[in-house]
Amino acid sequence: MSAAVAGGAVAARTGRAERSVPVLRALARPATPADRRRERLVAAAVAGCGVFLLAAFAILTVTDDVADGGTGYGDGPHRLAPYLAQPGLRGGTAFGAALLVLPFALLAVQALRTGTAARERRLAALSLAGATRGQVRRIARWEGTRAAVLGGLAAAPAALGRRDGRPSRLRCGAPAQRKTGVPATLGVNASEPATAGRE
Amino acid sequence: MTEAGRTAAPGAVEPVLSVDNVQHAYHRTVALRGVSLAVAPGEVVAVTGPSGCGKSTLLHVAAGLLRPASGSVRLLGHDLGTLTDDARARLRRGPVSLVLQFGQLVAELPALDNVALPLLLDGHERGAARRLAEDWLERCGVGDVAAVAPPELSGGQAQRVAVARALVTSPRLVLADEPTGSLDQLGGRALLDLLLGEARSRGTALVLVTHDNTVAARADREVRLLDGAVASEAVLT
Repeated sequence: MSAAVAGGAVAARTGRAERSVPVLRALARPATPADRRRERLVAAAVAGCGVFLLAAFAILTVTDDVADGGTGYGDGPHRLAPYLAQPGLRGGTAFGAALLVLPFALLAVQALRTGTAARERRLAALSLAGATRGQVRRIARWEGTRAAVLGGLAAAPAALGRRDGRPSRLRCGAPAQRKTGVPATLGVNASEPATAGRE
Repeated sequence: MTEAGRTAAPGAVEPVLSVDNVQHAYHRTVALRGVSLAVAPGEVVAVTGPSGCGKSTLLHVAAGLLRPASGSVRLLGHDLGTLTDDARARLRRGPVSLVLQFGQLVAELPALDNVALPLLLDGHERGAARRLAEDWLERCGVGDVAAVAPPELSGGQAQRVAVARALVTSPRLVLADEPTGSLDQLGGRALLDLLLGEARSRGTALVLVTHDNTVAARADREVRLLDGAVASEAVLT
């Protein structure tokens, strides 16, 4: 076989593989109401994990000038709760926030496990229809990625959202944000439901 | 290995399927003990025998779904032992098709997409694949259920959809495992008429695994298995 012919065959195969991508993506989408509920549950669990991981990270990155509300005196009107304001307590608080990831992670695992039988049946049927291992793996990967991305997208507004509308030095543009960076600001904001009311 | 098992299909042409001295076991349970079988192009072979004699295992080995412990399988000139899993999967969406007892359709896809699936997985253009699938659904008498998902189909409809999916790629060999097993006598006969009619009109070889003597009687040749070995072989027509 000449190099040109071989190259043409490879190109044809590559082109065909690319054309099969839309159908693989379609197969990765939840098709039944039960699949859709499962995907939403996994996404919600991933969002929960994301929010508390972000909170733990943010607590660990709180600096003293953020903790005192940016006044430099520790008694500003928007100071944080004591267990965030006091450096010695932040580690334990962050650990507590990280522990809250566990129930959400377990929820995600259980939600995924409820769909295992149906998923394996479907992948076996696809294999019988001629799907290669790579195609089957790609479908399974897209299924997981979809739920994770949806969960991640859900976690972002949860982290950004303000709960009581009161002014805060942690909002965008405030001096604290400029000092701690956006991720820490988002995380501290996310952790604020736990700290609000304890001032 | 028996002499009957060694018997080649009539004519000098290369068989589409050649199983040679295949052995297979599930843990300690031996399912196949040196089975040999050759199927010529366009030939209809019935593999019969009591439950547990290794019929379905033989079909799965022939389709490349199972790797035998020993022996060799040549499918359309390819030695399955040397092919990768992906290469064997590509054979199943092209020149070789499978029809299983309960259809084994993808429950999440409507009948039309199930039939088009082998073509779509092979990278055919979606519109053309669906048009061809529509055509085959019509030919198999289930054109009216194109948009219906398999769980809502009757057993007979699901099997007809499975037959349409098996034939949509214009295969050279169809491997059918108890295709009428879940149907009543009338439905089973209609499905067999369809499968045999399409196979004979297109010169497609067909291996029918069945324990039903009336189904086996319509084949060109019957290979009877007993305890994982070929017990007898008979030319029927």
